[in-house]
Amino acid sequence: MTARRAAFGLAALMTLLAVPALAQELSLSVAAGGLVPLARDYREIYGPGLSVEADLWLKLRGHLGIAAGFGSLSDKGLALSSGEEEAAYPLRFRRTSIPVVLFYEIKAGGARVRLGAGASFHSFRETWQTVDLDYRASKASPRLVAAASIGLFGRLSLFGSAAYDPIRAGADSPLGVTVDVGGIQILGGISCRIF
Amino acid sequence: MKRLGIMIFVVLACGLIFGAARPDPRIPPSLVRIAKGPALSMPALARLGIDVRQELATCLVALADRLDLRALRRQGLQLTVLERNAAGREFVLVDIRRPEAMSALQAAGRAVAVEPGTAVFWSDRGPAVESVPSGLARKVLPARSILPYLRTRAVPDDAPTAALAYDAYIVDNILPLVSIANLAADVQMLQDFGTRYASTAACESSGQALFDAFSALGLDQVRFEPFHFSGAYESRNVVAEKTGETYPDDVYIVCAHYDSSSPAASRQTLAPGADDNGSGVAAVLEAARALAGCDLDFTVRFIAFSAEEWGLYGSRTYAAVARTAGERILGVINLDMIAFADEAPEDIHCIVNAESAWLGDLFLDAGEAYGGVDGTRIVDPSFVYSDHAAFWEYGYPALDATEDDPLTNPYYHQITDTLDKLDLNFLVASARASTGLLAELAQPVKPGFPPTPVGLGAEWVVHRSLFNALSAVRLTWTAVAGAAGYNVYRSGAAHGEFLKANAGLVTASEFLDSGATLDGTYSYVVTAVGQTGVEGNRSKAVAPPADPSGAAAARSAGSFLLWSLR
Repeated sequence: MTARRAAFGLAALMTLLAVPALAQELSLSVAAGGLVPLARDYREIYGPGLSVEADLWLKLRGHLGIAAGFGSLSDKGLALSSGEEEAAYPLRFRRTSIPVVLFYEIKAGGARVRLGAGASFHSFRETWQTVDLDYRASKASPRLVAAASIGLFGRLSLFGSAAYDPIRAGADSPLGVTVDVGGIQILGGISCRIF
Repeated sequence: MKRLGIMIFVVLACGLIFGAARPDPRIPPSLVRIAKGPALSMPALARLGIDVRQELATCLVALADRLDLRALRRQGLQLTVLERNAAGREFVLVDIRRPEAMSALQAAGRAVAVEPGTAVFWSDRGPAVESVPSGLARKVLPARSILPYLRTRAVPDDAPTAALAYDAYIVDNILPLVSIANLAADVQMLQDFGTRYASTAACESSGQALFDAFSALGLDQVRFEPFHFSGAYESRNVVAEKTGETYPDDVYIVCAHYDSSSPAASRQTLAPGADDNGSGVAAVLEAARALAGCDLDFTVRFIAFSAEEWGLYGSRTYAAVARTAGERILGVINLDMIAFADEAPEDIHCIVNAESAWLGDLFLDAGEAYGGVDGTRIVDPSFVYSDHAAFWEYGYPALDATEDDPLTNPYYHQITDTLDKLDLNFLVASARASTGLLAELAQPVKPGFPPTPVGLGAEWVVHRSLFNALSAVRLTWTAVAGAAGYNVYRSGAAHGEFLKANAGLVTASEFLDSGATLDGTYSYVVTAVGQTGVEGNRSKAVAPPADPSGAAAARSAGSFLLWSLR
């Protein structure tokens, strides 16, 4: 395990050292939107959530590039009840994510389309707001992303993305099945070219 | 055409050969002993359709054909074939704890010990039960499988039981009606029939006397329940009832067998059976006298069984009919030989199986509280030689109260088993213990107290998020007129101690118990509290269903997950 971590660290370090030499373009995107949850339980309890994300897109030589960022999801819902109990228990779900993807960029007229794949590292927390119940966990998941930007003026572009994050979490779920707290995240915002 | 003929011949020949080579799996069944052990699983036996006829402490006795045997061996069970051809045979379990019992049995027919103290007996010379030497306790193997009524999971016999709630009303109003004079007179009355050996006219006459005695008390539904036994014989159980005011369909039973026995040479004419079991019947009659004038929440049935000495025929017929009718028998107190004292002070032995251990605990408490007699509880599923065992066969909780196990009465099944050999003080103590327990279970309706709540229902209410659940049990019941409020009591184990679940008086006829957790097992009772603050009897206990609704319906859409890292 230690050897694997060392190899991973070394590879990351070499990448970081190599990237500036290969870098052609760096842009920052800031976007907000919603999450379409994969799990029915999640949809029933929380519905679509509000999501914001900021990403750095570093284009390397050729069509390839690497992107990393920070995302946050916040959602409010009500606990499911097995009976006709009138009491309602409000819930809050928050998720922070750090996605890292390798992307391939295609230019089509004035638009740029980026298709990427990578991983996302999530930390999430579910809180019962009126009862002392709380759950926190971390999870890594694969990520598929498609993003597009159209230049507006100067360095600014109109930006949109769709990302697929299946986050299988919930061996501890009292719903008796594994719960997926991920889904398809659709964001819109702006992108700014730094260099 | 010729080829077709050859082909048809070959097919028919193959069919004949293979058909003949394959034995008919259903004939004949063998009598087998299946050792209890980790590999034994009741659900597995049920899946295989094994014809289990008896449960004992260390084994099951079953009928099994070749296919069954093969399947049982595949389960890793330890089998012993007791008799290869069991078809049409009558098998009898016999208590062989007495010296020379096994040799006497082997002289009378064929016998195999299935565990220490217990043998299976059968005879090639006629009905097995009539060939068992007198003086040996016996029980005929049931004619059908008892597997549906066997527990699927082991019940610990040391599970904590709620202590008896000593009730001053019972002490002041009911127990004084249990009198030593009545008990002695009843034993004498039964003894005076000369014999009560089932199949004799005198036995039937004694049954009539019991019927008349129950009728004179003004009990409900006094009746004979006739049955046939051992081929051509007929006898009658005598049943009387004190129907419950609040829960008429929930029944407690106190019973004893009224038939008697003595050595084969004398039993047709002389079998006084004062201790066995005039004493038990007298205690049942006395319980009936004490409770006849008292309104009760639950129904109490007083039963005098016949043909117990032949192999529990009367009680088995009764229990089978009750099970078929879906009767809710909550507990059975069987009294068999409760008046002979071989030591002073004599104590009473209470024999139960694991499922009835709670009832045994209550009986011991009642012995101390109401009878002033010490007791010993014996958990022994192999003690099947009295009428309680018929109820065990059908999954009802039952105890057998007796003076000593193993027996110490030297007059057992002798013509000398007469009233003068009995300790009447011990008999009255035993009778008060059983009557007190019966009253405690059936709950006298006390004047000036609020009525007992009915219609109690319990259900889980569960709130779930993705990663947490909040559970509670919702209880609802029918409002009691004039009640100032209610108390709710929760028990964390079947027949365990009930503790109050509400902080203040509950004023509505519903309660949400948020102290219950989903992994627990609970039962509840509710009491009504009157305007003056007096608390009434407890309702019938209810438990919320084990599987809360809503959980199974929830399904995740994450099944199309591609890949995940942890």
